[in-house]
Amino acid sequence: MIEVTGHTTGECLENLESRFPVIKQLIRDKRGQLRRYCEILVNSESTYPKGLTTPVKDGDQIDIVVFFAGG
Amino acid sequence: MRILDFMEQAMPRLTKNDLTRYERQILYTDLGEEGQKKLKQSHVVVAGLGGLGCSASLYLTCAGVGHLTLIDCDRVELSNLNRQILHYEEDIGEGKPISAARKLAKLNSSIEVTPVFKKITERNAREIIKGANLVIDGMDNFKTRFIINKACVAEGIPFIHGGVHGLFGEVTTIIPGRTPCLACIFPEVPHRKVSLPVFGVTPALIAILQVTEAIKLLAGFGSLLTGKMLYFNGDTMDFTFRNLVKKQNCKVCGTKDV
Repeated sequence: MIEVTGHTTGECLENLESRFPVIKQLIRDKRGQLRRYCEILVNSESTYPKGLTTPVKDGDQIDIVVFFAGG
Repeated sequence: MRILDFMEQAMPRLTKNDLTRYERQILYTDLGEEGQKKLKQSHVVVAGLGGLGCSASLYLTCAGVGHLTLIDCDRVELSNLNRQILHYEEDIGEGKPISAARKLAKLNSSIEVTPVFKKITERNAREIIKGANLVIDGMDNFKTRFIINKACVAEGIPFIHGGVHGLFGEVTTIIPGRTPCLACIFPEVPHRKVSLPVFGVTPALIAILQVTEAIKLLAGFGSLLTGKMLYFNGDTMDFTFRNLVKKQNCKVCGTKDV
């Protein structure tokens, strides 16, 4: 688990990407949009439909979920 | 809904052999003889006969699900054998559904197993699953999963999704009209064609969870993984859940225009 700063999920993600640039390649497309097979959760709940504009507060847990495609 | 339709049909009789073979699970009060009859009457499609599909069809066969349709378009390769437990060295080069069906017929000759050596496409998906009581996700790619998801929504057939990557896995039960579908959860079909890391144990565990869901759904007891995703992390041995949201503008099951 990594501590990040920000008032929204988007700000927190940008903070994370600035420290670990490789993450950006994994979860953003060429236009910088979050890939649609990634989902951002706050305290295990979906952030749909707000997505990256979802407000967060101190102590919230943000998870980046990807689709497991193997079988 | 398909699941209710078939429960209202006349129940098949359990033979003396059935009562002996399934004795230990019939002892489970919530299943009992009535639940066993429902399993015997059921038709399950296993889409994909890889790591997930092999383990899932094995336990569906053991449980006495009356009719299985096994569909896959691939042939057995040596690199499959670390996880695809119904295929043996002697089966290399054979169509996976045929290889799997042969083993299952030896395990339980009282059920019907139909192998379909065919690629699942947008055009044939609905025809393949039509009339089934549920579909088990045993697929190894995004594209086919989304084709089957769409077909299940169109036909009103429950779809038990499973997916794995390395030591990680996920399971959810999708019931059209009631729960989010796969396209609600992941609106975009990713374009990735790479070999994913997979241990044998991960699809085995996820498949057994899928079959646990299938047995409960078919026999009508217990609570299901509906509207939530179960994640397994084999690295840390954690099981976690997250709630899923049904999207009104989902392009597959939504009620509003995208």
